Amino acid sequence: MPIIKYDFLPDIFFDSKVKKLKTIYRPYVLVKLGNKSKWSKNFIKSLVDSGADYNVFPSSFADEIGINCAKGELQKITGVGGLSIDTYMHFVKIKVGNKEFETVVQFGENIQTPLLGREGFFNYFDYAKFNVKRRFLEIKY
Amino acid sequence: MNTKIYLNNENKWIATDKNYKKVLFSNKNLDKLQEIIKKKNIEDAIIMFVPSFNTTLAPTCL
Repeated sequence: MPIIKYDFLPDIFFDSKVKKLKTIYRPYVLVKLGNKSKWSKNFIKSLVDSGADYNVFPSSFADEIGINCAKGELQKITGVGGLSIDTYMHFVKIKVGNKEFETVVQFGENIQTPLLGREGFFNYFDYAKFNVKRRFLEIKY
Repeated sequence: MNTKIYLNNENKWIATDKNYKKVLFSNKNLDKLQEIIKKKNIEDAIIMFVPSFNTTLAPTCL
């Protein structure tokens, strides 16, 4: 069975203690979203988030593949700060590496970091292993 | 991958080449960025948000 390995990708972080910009590594993967035969033309850098219940993407990506976001089922989501936002659930296809599957995505306005969550992403793989020390993510299907 | 491409793009949506070496386009608004890359017929670029440098990320939902 194939195993896909992704190196964590660097972001910039300002360390206020030493007042310097530093690098922080995060588990991102590149995905495309699909609806029927239409696929997003570009890759979407998405955070693999084992704490997220579902996949969450900005509504702009729904528009691109011909989905009318507001026609989906309304679902409120709440972040760690307690603020909730409205999202709309849709069935879409996700392509990651050579694997494609149909799944549920919650689309919302002003989402800044696309998330790949447990239901809708992790459950399509045998396992996802985060090696933080060596900065890579391994997913097996 | 070099993070220098992020320095002038904090809190913006950007489209980079597939090696993350060059920012092709950037915009604070994702819809506008999508419009630009559609007009330019860009394919297989990488679209991402450059998070604020002053905060760490804890986006977990529900």
